[in-house]
Amino acid sequence: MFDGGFFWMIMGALYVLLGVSAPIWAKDLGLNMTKGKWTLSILWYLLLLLTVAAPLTALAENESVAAFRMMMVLVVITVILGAGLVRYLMYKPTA
Amino acid sequence: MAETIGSTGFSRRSFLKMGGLASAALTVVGTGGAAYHAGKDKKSYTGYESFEGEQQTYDRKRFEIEGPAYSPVSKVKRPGSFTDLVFTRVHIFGMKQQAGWTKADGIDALGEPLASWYKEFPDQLDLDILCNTVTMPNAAKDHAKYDEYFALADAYAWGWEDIFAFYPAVPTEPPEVSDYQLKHAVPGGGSYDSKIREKALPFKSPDHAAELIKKVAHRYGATVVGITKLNPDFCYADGLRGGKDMGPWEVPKHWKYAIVVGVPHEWEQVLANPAHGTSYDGYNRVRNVSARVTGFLKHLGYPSRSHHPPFHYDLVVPPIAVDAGIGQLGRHGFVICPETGSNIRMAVITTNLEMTIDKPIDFGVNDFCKDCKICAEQCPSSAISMAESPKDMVSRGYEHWKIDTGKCFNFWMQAMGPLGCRLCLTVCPYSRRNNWLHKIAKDVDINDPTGLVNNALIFMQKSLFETRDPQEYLRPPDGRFAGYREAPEWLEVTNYLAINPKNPQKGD
Repeated sequence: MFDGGFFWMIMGALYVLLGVSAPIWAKDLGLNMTKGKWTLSILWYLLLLLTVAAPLTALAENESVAAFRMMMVLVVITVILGAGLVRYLMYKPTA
Repeated sequence: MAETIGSTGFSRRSFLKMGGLASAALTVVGTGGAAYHAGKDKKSYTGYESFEGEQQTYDRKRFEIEGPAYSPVSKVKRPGSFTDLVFTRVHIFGMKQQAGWTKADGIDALGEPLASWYKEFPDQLDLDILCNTVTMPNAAKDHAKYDEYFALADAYAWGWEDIFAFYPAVPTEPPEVSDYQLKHAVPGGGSYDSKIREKALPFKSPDHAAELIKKVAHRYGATVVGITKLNPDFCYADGLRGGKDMGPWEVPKHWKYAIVVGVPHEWEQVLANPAHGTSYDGYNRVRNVSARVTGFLKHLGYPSRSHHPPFHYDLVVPPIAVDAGIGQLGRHGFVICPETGSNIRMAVITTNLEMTIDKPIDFGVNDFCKDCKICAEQCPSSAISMAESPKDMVSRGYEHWKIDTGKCFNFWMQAMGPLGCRLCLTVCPYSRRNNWLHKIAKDVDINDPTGLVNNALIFMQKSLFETRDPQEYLRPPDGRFAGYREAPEWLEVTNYLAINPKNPQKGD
């Protein structure tokens, strides 16, 4: 199921939909997105994917201890950076 | 109204927003599923694909160095097959003990070549005495007690290796004769020899010869193939197979080139070393490759000899493999290969076919091994040095990482399950699976000149991945015959056999 051309074709379509919808969300939320903010947002999203992917790969290798430790470290980093990113995106300088 | 979909009142904008939100969740789930699949996928087993050959995927050109890989640092002495090779040494020494030798008789009473060797390495005498008088009798008791628990692992191992007594045939004549002969089976039993093609068929060029040999070796099942000129220093000094006697011998003139072939072990049982793993799958596969390449050369008219596991060698394989660019020697004395890590078993074919040789490679193993030390930390016999570098580790005139073979063999004989240990090749970080997680780590490390990634990876390996207390690998009551990881389910006897054996790993 998670292998082969059909799976990655669906994943590609989902990524495209995500890419199309992100600017609409940003606009509706009143975020003043710049190239730098988009870059940071994409990097955080990649970190989120890594947070899911790395422990699951380790788990599937029968390295459950490594999977758990990896997950703990990555979740903490992702949450902290995510909270920071949200604050940065929402930040509106007062006049 | 143009932005609504049909009569639902649901705007296209809302559809894109909701679709995007769902996509965000689904891509995370999908990535997680793909990652889990990558970890489970048998294609990620290092070298697993190699059973169909031609999996030498690493671009060695970038990391080539001028050979040869080793230069003598002191007077060179070819290794002794009855002394430096621990298997034969302990066996011969055991026969002396059975004949009545005791330490009180003195080393000289052992006769040559043991006497001179033990004088040179006196600490090894006590270890070999320990092996024959304590370790082996204990092992016999343990095997009697726990035989059934390791029955599937034993049967699996011997299923691979029962054939080694018959194929390929052991040379019974010196290389000047046997390397020029082909052995043919006779239907109904027996065999006869015939001479190889009288005039060797010429190749267009050494390049063509090397290219074809590699293609053929891959098709015969080799994961990796390398070619080098044979350094005679790496040939044993005595015990030539098919030699007139077991004494000193000259390296034959036609042993100009060495073709090195390598295959990995099956992955799942590698992780269960030392308890449920085996060397015999790798031995069997690589021996078959080596014998087939030897036959191929002979049928073209080129004399050749296969040097292969388990103990059919007239030479020491690792330094020749390093010269041939297969990999680099690690702290544990195994060659670390870019494709398979330490998980590789090799054989050598000596011949006079002129071939373009490969260069040794340096892809950072020396620096990694200096810092890592995981194999030394995990070794239950402390046979692997914790030294900062191989400097001053000189063996037979060459400087390289060296292990204490006497200590190693004492645990090698103690370990339950199929013979041997192999823990060092299992725990080596280079032996991880070939999936995205480890591949990225390895590739980034190899391309980082600063060494920072090296240090980060070692830190992560030690702090994230589970390691055992080396004591756990020992026999009860000190240990529990643990494996580095649990045995694969197909080697767990209780999953398939209607027996209820004593399980030392659970304290029985």
